[in-house]
Amino acid sequence: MRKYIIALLVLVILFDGLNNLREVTDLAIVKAIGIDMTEDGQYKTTVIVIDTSNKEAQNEGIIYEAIGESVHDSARKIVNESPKKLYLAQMETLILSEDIAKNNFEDTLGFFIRDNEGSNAFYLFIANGCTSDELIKSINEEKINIKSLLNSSARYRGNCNMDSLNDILKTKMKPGINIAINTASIDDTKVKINSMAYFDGWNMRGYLTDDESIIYNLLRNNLDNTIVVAEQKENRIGAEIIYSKTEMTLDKEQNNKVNFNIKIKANISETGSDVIIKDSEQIQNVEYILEEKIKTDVNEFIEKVKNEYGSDIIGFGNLMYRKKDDFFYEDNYLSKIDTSVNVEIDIQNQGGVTKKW
Amino acid sequence: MNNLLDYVKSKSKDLNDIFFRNICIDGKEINLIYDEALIDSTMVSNFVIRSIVDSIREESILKNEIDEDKDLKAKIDKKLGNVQELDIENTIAINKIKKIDPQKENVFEYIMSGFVLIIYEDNAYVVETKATLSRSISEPTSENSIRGAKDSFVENIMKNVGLIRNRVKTENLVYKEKKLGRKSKTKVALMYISDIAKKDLVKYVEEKISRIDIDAILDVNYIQEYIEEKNDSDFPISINTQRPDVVSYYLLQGRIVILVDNSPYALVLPAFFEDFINNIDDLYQKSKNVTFTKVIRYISLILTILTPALYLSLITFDQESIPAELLTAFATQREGVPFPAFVEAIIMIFSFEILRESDMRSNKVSGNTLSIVGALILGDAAVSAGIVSPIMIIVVAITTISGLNFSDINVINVLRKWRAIFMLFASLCGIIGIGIATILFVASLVSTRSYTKPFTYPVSPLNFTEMKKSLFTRINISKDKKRQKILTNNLTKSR
Repeated sequence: MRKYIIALLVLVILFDGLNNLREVTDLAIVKAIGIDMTEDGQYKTTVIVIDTSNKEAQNEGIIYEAIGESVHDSARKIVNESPKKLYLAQMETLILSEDIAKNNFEDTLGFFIRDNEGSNAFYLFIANGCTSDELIKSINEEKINIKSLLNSSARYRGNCNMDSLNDILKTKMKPGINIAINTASIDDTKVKINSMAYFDGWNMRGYLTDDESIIYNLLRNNLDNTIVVAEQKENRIGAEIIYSKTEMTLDKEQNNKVNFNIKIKANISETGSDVIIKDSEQIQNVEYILEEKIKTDVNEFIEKVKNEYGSDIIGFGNLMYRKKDDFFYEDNYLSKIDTSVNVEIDIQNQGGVTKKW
Repeated sequence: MNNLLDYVKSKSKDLNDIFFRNICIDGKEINLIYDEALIDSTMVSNFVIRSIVDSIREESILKNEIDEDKDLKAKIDKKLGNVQELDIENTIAINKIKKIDPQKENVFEYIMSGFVLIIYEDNAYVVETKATLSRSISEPTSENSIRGAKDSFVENIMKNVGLIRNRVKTENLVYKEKKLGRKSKTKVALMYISDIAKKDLVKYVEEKISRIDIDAILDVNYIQEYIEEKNDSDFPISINTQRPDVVSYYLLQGRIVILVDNSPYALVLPAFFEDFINNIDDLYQKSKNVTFTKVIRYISLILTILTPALYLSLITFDQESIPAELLTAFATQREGVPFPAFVEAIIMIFSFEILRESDMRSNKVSGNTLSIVGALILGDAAVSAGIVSPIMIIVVAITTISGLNFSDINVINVLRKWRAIFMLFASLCGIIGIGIATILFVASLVSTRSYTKPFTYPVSPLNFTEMKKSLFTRINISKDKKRQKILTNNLTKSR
C-alpha cells in the first residue's frame, strides 16, 4: 500500500509538469521585436518570427505586426495572423524607438521584465534616426544576424558593448550611475550599429558621438580592441589597442576628486612618413604621444559629461556611494567633481616590416 | 553376473545407441557395454578389446606352457607368486579404470558419460573412452580482444580448466568439481586461489551451490540464478566472460570462478559496476593513454542512457535551455512530422530495438538483408516519408553507437530498460523528470549488493586508492603493489 501511495505522489508531481508541455513545432520562435509608439499613443509591435516550415532556407524570417493598447496586447494580436503563439524565450534583439526611449522607456520594458517566459538575455537597441518598424524590416530583408554584428562591433571597434537587458537593468539598479544603450540605424538600406544613447534615470537624453562611445566603453572597462590615431598626416601614429584596463579610485586627500588610471597595451599599426621608431627613446616618445592623445580625449569626454550631458553615465556617484563618500549626497555633485587621468601605454609591437620573434 | 547384463539390456530396450559386445575366448566370457555416440571407437578397439583379448591369449599360452612344463610353473611361482586369473584392472592400457559395485552405483551414469562397462565374471569395471565432442579453441565471439590473448573457452570444461591452469600454475588454484542436475549430471566446478580468495565468500558460494537441486543444468546462467536468488536488482552482479585471460586476472584478484560443462562462459563473482565499464585490454595498453579511453566509456554510458530523454525534454519542455540556432534547426526538422516528439521517439527506439533483436537472432545469411532493409527503412525512407525527423535518427544513432561500448548482454538489457525509464520521465516533466529518474537510477545502483559486497565500489563506499587505480586512470602495473582489500586479505601483489 505504501508503495502505491509513494508512486501516486511521484506521479502527481510528474503530471504537474505536463501543463508546461509544448511541442517545438507549435512555437513561433521570435528572433527580434521592434516597438514603436503610434501617434494616438498605442503600441505598434513588429516581430521577426523564424520560418521553420522551409527546410531549404533556414534563418529566413516572417514579419508580423500589430497595434494594441499595451505591448502584450499588441504582441498577442499577432496570433490572429500567425498560426503559432509567439515564443519569446529565444529572442535575440529588442528594438525601441527613440520616442519610447525618451518618454515611455520604463513602461515599455515592464512587459519584458515581468514576462516569466523570457530570459532577458537579449540585446537592447534604440532605433537611431528611424522607426523600429523600419529597422526590423530591414534586418529581416538583409538577413542580418544582429547578434554577430553587435559582437564584432563591440570586440573590434568598441563603440558599443555586449550588455544584455539583464546587465543594463543591473547597472540601472545601482545608485549613482546612469545607463547608456547601444543604438542601431539604417544607413542607405544597410543596418548599422551606431554610437550609444545615454540616459538620465529611465529617460533617454541624447546620443554620444562615435568616439565618445569608445571612450565611454574604455572608462567602463568594456573595451577589448579598437584603433586610435594621434597627430596627422606625416606625423600620424595609428595604434591598435589590444588590452585596456581602467581603474577608478577616489583621491585620498581631496574628497571630490576621482583618479583614472588607464593601462593600455597596443600595437603600432601604421605611421606617417616622418615618424621613425628605432630605439627605445623613440618608442617612448610614440607612447607619450598616444598617451597624451587618449588623455585629452578622456578629459574632453568627462568635461562634456559633466557640463553638457549632465548624466552620470561613468559612475562617479556609484564609486563614491560604494566608498561611503558623503560628497555623493550633495546636490549636483556631478558638476563639482574634479578628475585626474593617468594613461600608461605599453607598445607591444612596433610594426617592423620583418617580424622579430 | 548375468543379472547385471540382463538389467542393462532390459533398461536399454529403447536406447539403440547402446552397444553390447560379447567376447568369448578360451571359455572366458566378457561383456562390453557402451554408448556408441559417446565413445571413441578406436580407443575401445585398440586399448580395451585388444588388451583384453591379448592378455587372455597370453594367459592361455602361458597356461598351456605351464601345463606342459612343470618346471616353468615352479619357476614362475617362485618369481611372481601364484598366477592369478585374468586381472582386468591391470590389463587395460587406459588411465581411467575403476571397479564398481553395480548394487550401489548407477551403471547408466557411467555409460552416458562415455565409459565402457566391462562385465567379467562377477565383477563390473568402467573404463573411460570418452570421445572429444568439443570444438577446438577459437577466438572469443562476444568479447573483442584488441591486443590480448585470442583464445576463448569452449564447451568442454576440462579444456577450459586447462586454459586457466595454463596461465595460473599454482597448486593453490583450487578446482572443486561437483555433478549437479538429477538428469543432466553436469559437471559444475568452483575455482579460486586458496591463499587469495576470502574464505567466507568461498563458503557462501559453496553452500549456495550445495543447495541446488534441479533436473538439468544447461548453462552457467542456471547456477548464476541459483546463487543470486535474493538479488532483485536490474544490474548483473556477476561477470560472464569467454576469455581465459580475464578469468585468470579476476582469480588473481581473489574472485571466485564457476565453470559449467557445456557452457563456454565462465561466471566470475563478485562483480562491481566498474568491471562492466573497464576492459582487460586496458591492462595491455600504455597506462597513461588509458584515461582518455575510460573517459570516453563513461561518456558513452551517460549518452546511451540519456540522449533520447534529453532530446525529448529539450524539445518539449525546456526549449529555452538550448541556443536559438539549435532550436530553429530542431523546429525546422520536426516540421511536418505528424506525431508528438515522445511518440516519434518511441517509434524510432522501438523499431531500432526490434531490428537489433532480429539481427541478433537471425542467421548470418538473412542478417545482411536485414541490415540493408533496416538501414533503408530506419534511415532514409522514414525521414523522406515524413514519419520521423532526421534529428531523431541522429539521436537513435548516438544512443546505439554509445551502447555498443558494452559487450555484456546483461548490461545492455539494463541500459535499455533505464533508457526507457528516463524517456518516460523526460516526456512527463522535462529536465526535472531526468533529475528524478537520475535519483532513481543512482538509488537502484547503490542499493545493489554483489554477494554481500557493495556494487558501486570504489565510488560508494569511497576508496580513493582504488579509484586512482582503476576508475578513470590506470596505475602503472609496476606501481600497483596491493590487491583490493574488499576481495582479499592477502594484499601483497608484488614487491
